[in-house]
Amino acid sequence: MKRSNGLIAVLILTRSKPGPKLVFHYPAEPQLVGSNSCGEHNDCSDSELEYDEEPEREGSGRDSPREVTSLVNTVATQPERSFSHDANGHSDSDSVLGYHVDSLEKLLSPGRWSARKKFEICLDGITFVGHPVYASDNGSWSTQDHGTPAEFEAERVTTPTLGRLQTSTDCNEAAPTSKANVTIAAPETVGQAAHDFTHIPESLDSQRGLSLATSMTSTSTASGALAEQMTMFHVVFAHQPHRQSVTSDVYQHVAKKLAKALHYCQKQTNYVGVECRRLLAIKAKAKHTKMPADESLKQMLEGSGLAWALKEVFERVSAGEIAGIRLNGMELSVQIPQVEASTSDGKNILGPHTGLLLLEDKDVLLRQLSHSDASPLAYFIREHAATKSLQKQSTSLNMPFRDVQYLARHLIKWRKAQIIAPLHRRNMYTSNSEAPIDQIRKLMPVYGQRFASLPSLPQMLKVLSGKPIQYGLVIPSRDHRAPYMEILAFLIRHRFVMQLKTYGWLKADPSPYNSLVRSSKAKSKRPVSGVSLLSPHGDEDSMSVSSERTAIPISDVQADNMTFDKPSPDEFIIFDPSHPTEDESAMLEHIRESIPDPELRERFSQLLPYFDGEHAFEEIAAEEAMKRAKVEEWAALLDREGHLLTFRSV
Amino acid sequence: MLKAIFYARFHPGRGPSVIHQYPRGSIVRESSSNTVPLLSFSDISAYVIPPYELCNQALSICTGEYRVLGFPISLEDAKYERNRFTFNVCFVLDEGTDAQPWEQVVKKAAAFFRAVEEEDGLLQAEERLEGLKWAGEDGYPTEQVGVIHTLLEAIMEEVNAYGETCVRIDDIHVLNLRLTPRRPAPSNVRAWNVPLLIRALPSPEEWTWDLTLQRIHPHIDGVKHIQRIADLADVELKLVKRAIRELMYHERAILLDIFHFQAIYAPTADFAWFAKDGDMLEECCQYVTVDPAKSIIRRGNQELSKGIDSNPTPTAIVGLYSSLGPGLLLHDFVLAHEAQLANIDIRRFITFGVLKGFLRRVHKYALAVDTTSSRELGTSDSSPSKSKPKSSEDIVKQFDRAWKKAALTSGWATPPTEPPAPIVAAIISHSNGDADGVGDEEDEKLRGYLDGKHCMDEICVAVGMSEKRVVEEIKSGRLGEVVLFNK
Repeated sequence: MKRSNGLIAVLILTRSKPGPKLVFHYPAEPQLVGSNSCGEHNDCSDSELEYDEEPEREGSGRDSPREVTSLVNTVATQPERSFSHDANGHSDSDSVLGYHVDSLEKLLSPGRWSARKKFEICLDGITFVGHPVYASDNGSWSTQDHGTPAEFEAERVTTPTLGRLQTSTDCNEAAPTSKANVTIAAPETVGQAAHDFTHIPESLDSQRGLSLATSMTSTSTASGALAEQMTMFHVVFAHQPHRQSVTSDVYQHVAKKLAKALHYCQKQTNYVGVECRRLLAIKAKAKHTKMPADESLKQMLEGSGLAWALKEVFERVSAGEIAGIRLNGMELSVQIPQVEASTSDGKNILGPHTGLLLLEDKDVLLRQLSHSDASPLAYFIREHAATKSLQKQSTSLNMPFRDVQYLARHLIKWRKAQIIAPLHRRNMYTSNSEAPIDQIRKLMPVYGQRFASLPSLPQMLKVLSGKPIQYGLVIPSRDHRAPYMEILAFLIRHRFVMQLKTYGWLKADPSPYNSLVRSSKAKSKRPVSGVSLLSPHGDEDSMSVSSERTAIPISDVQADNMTFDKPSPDEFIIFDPSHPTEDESAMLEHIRESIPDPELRERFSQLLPYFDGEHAFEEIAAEEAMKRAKVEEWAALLDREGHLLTFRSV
Repeated sequence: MLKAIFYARFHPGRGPSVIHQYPRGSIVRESSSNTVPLLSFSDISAYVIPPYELCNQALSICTGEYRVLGFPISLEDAKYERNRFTFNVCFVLDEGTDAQPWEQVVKKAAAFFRAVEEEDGLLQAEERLEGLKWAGEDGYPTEQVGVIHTLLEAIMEEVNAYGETCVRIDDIHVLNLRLTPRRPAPSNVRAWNVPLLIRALPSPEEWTWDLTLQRIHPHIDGVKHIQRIADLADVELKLVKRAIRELMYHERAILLDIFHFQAIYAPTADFAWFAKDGDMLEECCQYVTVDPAKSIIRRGNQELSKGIDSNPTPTAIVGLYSSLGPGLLLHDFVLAHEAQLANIDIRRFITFGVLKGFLRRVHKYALAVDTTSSRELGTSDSSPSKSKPKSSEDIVKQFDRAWKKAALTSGWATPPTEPPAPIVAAIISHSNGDADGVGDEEDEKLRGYLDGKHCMDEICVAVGMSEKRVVEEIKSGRLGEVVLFNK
């Protein structure tokens, strides 16, 4: 259920006295959606015809027929973009996303007006979104001067280690770093001057005065290295095509979070400053020695934790996954939360009677936790059972319900669990219309290993996709119960099956005397005739049958049954039993009185709210603390009496 | 909703400046009024007038709660001061507004302003006019002097009010803008889908139909599937698909599945909503009821018709729908409820549910599990779906393309339009594996669909067999162990 978010690149820029600098971007050569389709453009007439053969191209950019015209138009502006590629055979390092690095640097380092706000621009279809972070007016980043360390701590990030330099992976790189301070300034500023387009009189730097001010203060406070003093950094995500919902997701959940974390690290240990200097040093060296692009990228990824983290974020997030990164020894996870179709209908709120299904094996989850023995989360995972509601788990774990709820929410947020109705052998399950059949071959061995000597995955799928039956009936014996429930959990986890729920309303007949007649609603009782027309005949049934023939002819045989079978036209469905009209109240009262079971008669009003077509009968028992068997028995009784109209849906 | 519109240019003396704005005071504060500007122009001026490299393409920026859509234009000509004239007509929207429909408007407006300047130098000329006031100056706007302010005003007022505008500056320059709301791309059309017209098409006299539509239109009846329409109308399948997709985009048609009695339908959660909606039920009753006069039931038994004289009641309809469910073939459903269905057109009964979204079709799939006996399955990750269409049409086309290319580059006088028949035949038979016998070929063809990704309708249409025969074929054992399942 991954949604493509069209992420095409991540960039980090800094601004210091010499000007804005694109420090690092990933991937080295971002793939433009637009330029791709442009390459195919000559072949357009053909590909246009063939679109229907390629389902994966569905959302790729043919939002409307107008796209085509806009594509043609962009072709006109394309040459300057692709020029740098064609000129010297390989990708020119001076250009990213089809624009000169110089222009991008100016474009993506906005003035202080944008500080700690959403920055979003859309340039010819490519949207750039970021959260620029500025040093304070005097050019300082440190926490002592101002700013509240608590601000970021509130974001719930584990306390960072306060080492001057980096995590263990970076230790061996410490030497080049110190060297970088000295060597970097010269080649970089030269490079900067070389790129400068003197024919551009106006600059995107609308706050020229700012860098001047900072440089003055920095020179007065510190050594010459501080001429490079960073006054701003900006992590920018580029994506395409422009969709506002994607932009705000990327901003809210990725760009902003990352910028805040980096700001914190920067305030603590000048993390971003040091990392960026290191990256620029590698870049300068690569340029000097004419290192191939992929080699220098490799060096940057290996040499800098920040570069690695950005790569990780880009790759994971663009694949719709969770990115787990380390910044300055501090762990951080970012993701764009998935809005699953099933959660959007508002039914899946973590109530006491909902259950939880872990999406990974327990031992895998436990291994991922750093303090696997002690934490309540580990305890919760170890003791978790998909058959128990949160309420029950809270009781059995002797943990307050709120805590259980919190842990459950945490697991859901990080895609380790999903909300389900607690698995029960009395529930019915049916195949999911979105079952990932393309993964079945991959999963069959996994399944086979776990459930050896039990029915195979396709067999289970077949059984559950037939006539709906209670899952318990699939289980051959009491001893098989546990493994079969495991199988069920497996099937649901991999979205092969889902629960089929029963809903319904009460119905009543204002004329009570003929309620007896309809008790003959059993489906199998019908005499089988007219088969000749309805049963498949040869080749014809794969084709459609025209209107005239789809009405059912009645033969003489059924004429006798006719009158009994037809529901009385007066029959009445009570759609909202909680707020009955006067007539409905009378009917409800009548139904209640006609119930033979005294206990049901007593509980009748308690059950009423569930007969509104929106509450699953399977949930009654848990909600009202009754026995499931009892509820089923009562529903069956009402059905027999002809008072219940039910339907099943997922 | 457009919040403001302004025209800015790079001024050699003053830098990026707003010359015209509408409404007054929306971008540049006016000394005479207290209107607070929507945004700070100095913040974003670098994005309104960007470096040349970034001009002549759409560039928008968000600031505060607004999104400024622009399309900076930079013209190079010796007649301009510093040889360049850079300007931008920007549209200001609320940040939350969907900007996509506006992008085309902005682009077209930019092209218009560019043309006006390139052809007649109107933009530059206006600034030289006596008495022209700039935005923010006292006395702005000056009526009677210049056209741009009037133009901006017309664009904003009319597009906001009517979604379109038509402004004439002079005999040649007329600006037409229209805001077209975004429509979702229609889903892909498959050979086994059944198109149904949901609105009548405009008559051919007032709306030119394309050739495909002319040919296929009589066959679109909500019963025939695409492949059949293509066959009957003698039109290439791809063209039919494209025409239907076009109709879907314009909300004239929707897709159904093939109606047959081996199909399974199940209610969705929306069913509760349908059942409670009295109007909907009434509509449903009317739609599904067979006209008693035409009913074939009438033809037979006079006595019988008395019993079923009444039309189905809403309650009966709800009852019927709710007894559908996964695992229940339509065939069995009809047998079980024969009497209640007497006056109901079963096809319409199902179609109505599918159309309104409270019924869903449960499709049947086949999955070959016996990995050893099947050739294709070894490479099943990608091949079956691809190897299937390769069979004939694609091969021919691929060959055709290669052939033409070779022919054109070889310097032949006239490239043959058709590849020689024997070669095609050879290729086709090759791609179908060893064509020993008809039965083998069929099996081979069928095998490609047994990966659980192709629904039975698709298989039936593709291999031209009935579902019953396909199932028999599958169960014969020649194809190894195959599991049938619904989803």
